[in-house]
Formats: sequence, C-alpha cells, structure tokens
Amino acid sequence: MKKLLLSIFLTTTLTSCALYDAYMMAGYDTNEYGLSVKIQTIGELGPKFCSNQSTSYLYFKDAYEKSVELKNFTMHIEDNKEAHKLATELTKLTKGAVEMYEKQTPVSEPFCKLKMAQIEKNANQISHVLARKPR
Amino acid sequence: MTIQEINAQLIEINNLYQSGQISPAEYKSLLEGLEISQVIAESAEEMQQKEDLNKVINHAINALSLIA
Repeated sequence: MKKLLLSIFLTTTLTSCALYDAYMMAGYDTNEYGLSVKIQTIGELGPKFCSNQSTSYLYFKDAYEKSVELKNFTMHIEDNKEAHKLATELTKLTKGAVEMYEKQTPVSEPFCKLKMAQIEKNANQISHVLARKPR
Repeated sequence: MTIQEINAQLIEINNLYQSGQISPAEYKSLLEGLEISQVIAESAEEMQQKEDLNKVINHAINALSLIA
C-alpha cells in the first residue's frame, strides 16, 4: 500500500514538474513572439507574389489582421506598454499597405516589394525585443 | 529597421518616385512607413535598454541575497 501511494505521489509530482518546466522554459511571452514572427514571415515571403495583385493583397491583409491581433493581445497585459506601442505602430504600417490596395488599382510592384521589406524588417526588430522581454 | 536601412530605403524610394515607377500616393505611403519605422526603432531600442538594465539589477539582487 505504501509503495502504491509513493508511486502515485511521485507520478503526479513529476508530471506537474514537467508541465511547469515546459511552460516556464521560455522566459518570454510565446504568444506575442509567435504573432510577431508570423508577420515577419509574411514580409519575407510576400515579395515573391508582388507581380500578382490579388495574392499580394491577401498577404498584406493577413499581415494587417495578425498585427491587429498582436496589438489587442498586448493591450491588457500588465507592464506591457512598450510592447503594445510597438504592435500599434506595426498595425499602422500594415494598414497603410492594405489601404493602398483598396484605393489604387493596380498597385506597382516596387511599392509592394518595399512595403513588404518595411513589414519584414520592423517585425523582425519587434520579434528580437519580444524574445528578450521577460513575462 | 535600423537607421542605416531607413536611410537606404529613403534613397531607393526617392529614386523610384523621380523615375516615375511609383505613384505620388505610393510615395507618400512609403515615406509614412519610414516614419513609423523610425518610431519602432527608437521604441525597440528603449525597451531593450530597459530590459538589459532590469536584468543587471535582478542579477545584483540575486547575488546579494546569497550573501545577506
């Protein structure tokens, strides 16, 4: 009986430790970082599709939606003003691209490429600081 | 974006506009993007410095708590 109780105790304790470790292994907010990296990736892959208006528009729209999500995610977290400010600026940047597609047809290829580069580089910089910000 | 990257893109944007490869509206949007990039660069740097300082202070506190 004692052995059974001991084994149950050890099993539950070790499982809890493993879960705690997995959660705490990343000292930063993985959700914030994940969203920022997704936006960075869109900016990196997007230029390949700049010759196609509808595909590039979808890429910009996706970057805009994800940056709004990042902005909203960072909004209510305590002591997170700086991250929220960065996300808000990134949202302005991606919104500008979407608005251009909505008011001007066609949008030029150089514009698409440069805007994608702006998104990629800024999201990269944001990912860099978010990965170093403790939760 | 770093300040060097912002400068390089500004030159590229001006050249594209002067050669007529981008419209006035696109030119304006790209310049606004550079303005936003500058704000992001400054805020990110400030945030990084704050985190670095925080790390140093925490290390010092931890080291002291071992002694005291």
